[in-house]
This record gives sequence, C-alpha cells and structure tokens, in this order.
Amino acid sequence: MSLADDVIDTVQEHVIEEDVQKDKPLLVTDPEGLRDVMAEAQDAGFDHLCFVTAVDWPKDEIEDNAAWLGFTEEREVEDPDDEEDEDATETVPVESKGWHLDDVDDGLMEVVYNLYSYDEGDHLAVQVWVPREVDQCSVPTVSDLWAGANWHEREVFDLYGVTFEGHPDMKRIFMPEDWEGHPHRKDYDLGEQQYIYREDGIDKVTKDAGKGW
Amino acid sequence: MARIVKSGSPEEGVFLTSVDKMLKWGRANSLWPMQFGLACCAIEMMATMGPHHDIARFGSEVFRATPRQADLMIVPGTVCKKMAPRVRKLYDQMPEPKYVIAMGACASCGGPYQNSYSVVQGVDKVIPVDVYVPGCPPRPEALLDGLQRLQEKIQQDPEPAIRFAKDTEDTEELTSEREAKQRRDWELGPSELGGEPA
Ligand code: SF4
Repeated sequence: MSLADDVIDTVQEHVIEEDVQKDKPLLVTDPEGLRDVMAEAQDAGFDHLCFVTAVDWPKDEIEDNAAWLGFTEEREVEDPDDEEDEDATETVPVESKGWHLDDVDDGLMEVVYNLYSYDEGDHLAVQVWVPREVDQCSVPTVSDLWAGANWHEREVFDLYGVTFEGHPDMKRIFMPEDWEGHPHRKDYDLGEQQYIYREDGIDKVTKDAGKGW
Repeated sequence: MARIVKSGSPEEGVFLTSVDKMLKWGRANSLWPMQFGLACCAIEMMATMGPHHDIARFGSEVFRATPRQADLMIVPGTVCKKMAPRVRKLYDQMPEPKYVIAMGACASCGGPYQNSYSVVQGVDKVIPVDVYVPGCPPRPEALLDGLQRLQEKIQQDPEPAIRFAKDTEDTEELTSEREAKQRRDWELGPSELGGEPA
C-alpha cells in the first residue's frame, strides 16, 4: 500500500474525488479540508512539496470541457418519447470537484499541490477548486507545514490572484507591487501593456511606453 | 585597407596604413564581450566560447565579468521588462566605443514571446543594436558570423576612430550621439554606409 492510499484512507471525509493520472494518485478536497489533508500527508511521510500551482477555468471553458471535467454525464434516456430510439442518451449535469455547474458564477480556480516522499519515492497531487472571482478566490496556506510553500504561494498569488489565508507575507513575488491584474488569468488584458521603470531603487509600473520598458 | 608590399621588393617588411585604420582593425579584432546571459541563447553563447567553436579565433575570448572592461554586449536571450532597466544600466556603464549584438529572436524582436505581458519586444527598445543574429537559438556559427559582421562594420565606420570625451557629460553626449547615428544607420540601410559588408 502506498503512502498516498494511507493518506486517502485517513482523511476519507475530506476526499471529494480520487483518481490516478499518469500513474500518480490525485485527490480533490475542499478548502475547509485542505489543511487536514496536507497535515496528514506530511505526517504520513510526504516530506517534499514540489510545487504549488493553479489552473484558471473561466465559466465558458468549463462548459466547453464539461464532460471531460465530469460536470456532465451521458445517460440513457429512461423512457424515450420516440419508442424506436431506445439507445437515446441525454446529457445531465452532475456534481464534480465539489461543484455543481449551476452554482458556478464566473468560473473556478483549480489550485494544485504536488507532494513527494524522498524515502518512498511516492507522489500525491492534491487539488482544491475555489471560485475564481478575486475576492472569493482563497485557500488556507500550507507555508507553516512546508516552509518552501511560502514563495510558491506568493507566486500563485502574483500570477493567478489566489489569496492564501494565514500566509505570513502575502504579496507579489515577480511583478512590481503596483502591477494591475494577475497575468496568468485567462481574462488578463494583454492589449493594454504595462511598462516597468526604476525609481529610488524599486521597480515601478507605468502605462506610458515612453517612461518605462 | 592597407597596402601590403610584395615579397622581394625593396620595401619588403614595410606595412603602410593610417593610424585610423590600424586602430579600427585593432578594435574590431579584440572585442571583449560582457559575460552575461539572459535565457536559453546564453547556453549557445557559452558553446561559442568553448573549445569546439572557439570564439578566441576572432579575438573575443576575453569575456569580462564587469561592464567596465567590456566593448561588446552580446544580449543572449529574452529581455524581460524587469531586466530592461538593468540592461540599460549595464550598457551605460560600458566605456565607449561600445557595440551590441542582439542574439536570437527574443533579443531581436521578442521572438516567441509576442504580445507578452512581461517581455520587451526587442532589446533595441532599450539600447542601440549593431548586429541582429536571428535564430531560436542561433547556432554558434551564426553568432560567429554576427561577430564578423560587427568587425566589418567597425572597420568600415566612416567616423574617425579616436574621439575624445573629456568628462562624464561628454561620454553621455557620445552615447546619445551614437544612438542618433544608430537610428540614422537603420533608416539609411547598409548600401548608403559604404556598401553591403563582404
Ligand atoms: S531566441 Fe529562442 S533560444 Fe534564444 S532566448 Fe529566445 S526562446 Fe531562448
């Protein structure tokens, strides 16, 4: 039995979905259960948090990929109106990743943690799905469990706008402080360029092409 | 460039040229590049430095770790918006005369990072560029070709080799003058600057 199975068994109540992708176990949890799952994983022997990242899913993209993401399912029509067409199927919405497609307003943000155990060589991916609106897009920090998560979480905050609650230093890591928007979001406006210049030893942002680069 | 006296003639062993031409010849054949890299192209630049391609054959093996001792800035890689002010600063610290090779698609025009939030669309937005080397990444041969083009350009420069800068302000003036000239070169094209390099 692998470490990942141990973890999944122990935190069964927080596991929304489990799966194996590319031979690596994956579990989906909710923001409330995340800290329990992560603490349990660390106790079980996942001593290395490889990286934290996110995937932005605007609503229309979820709809386009609904079947693949598990938000809809093909079912056989129970009693078709047309007697001859007995194999008719219909697409019905189902709950997936802890969400029902009807409850999703703007879209979802998938936050992914990749864990690794040096001793056992085991992998585990943990996913949390939260609303993608910037004010609601937040998950608890794990930077107190793995110190390395500190900068990873700042990176995800910088590029995706996910806030990590309880993080000791939740600010941008790459872009200057006054940068507008989170560049890896799919609705980030690339048409309006922002430029960087230096002033008093700090990077500043301007929209005037003549002032910065 | 110079008149080489035929073997066996009474003038044998004499080499006639002008100070200006000799200086330009020396300058072109001992370009000291600055040792810095910005992205994947830098790996190819390092290969150019190595024994197989051996940039020393062209007099540029002395990669200096400080801009103050370098004549040539090879910009090998993607210039991020955050890096741009630093690149400019490094360029400003190099003594005149100074030259720039934009190595690779990124440094020339943004390359694969077209319309990116973080990448400057060509290092020529930040500093004047003498030679653009296309490729992603350019092979060491291409960089060496770029270097030779630059050497030809230096030798064909119509400006006198020696210009005196008395103080820092003059140096700044020279830099802006050079940038203006660069733009003029760009508009004129090679034919009006004494012909396509051989
Ligand atoms: S041109 Fe290609 S190889 Fe060179 S820095 Fe850009 S992406 Fe890398």
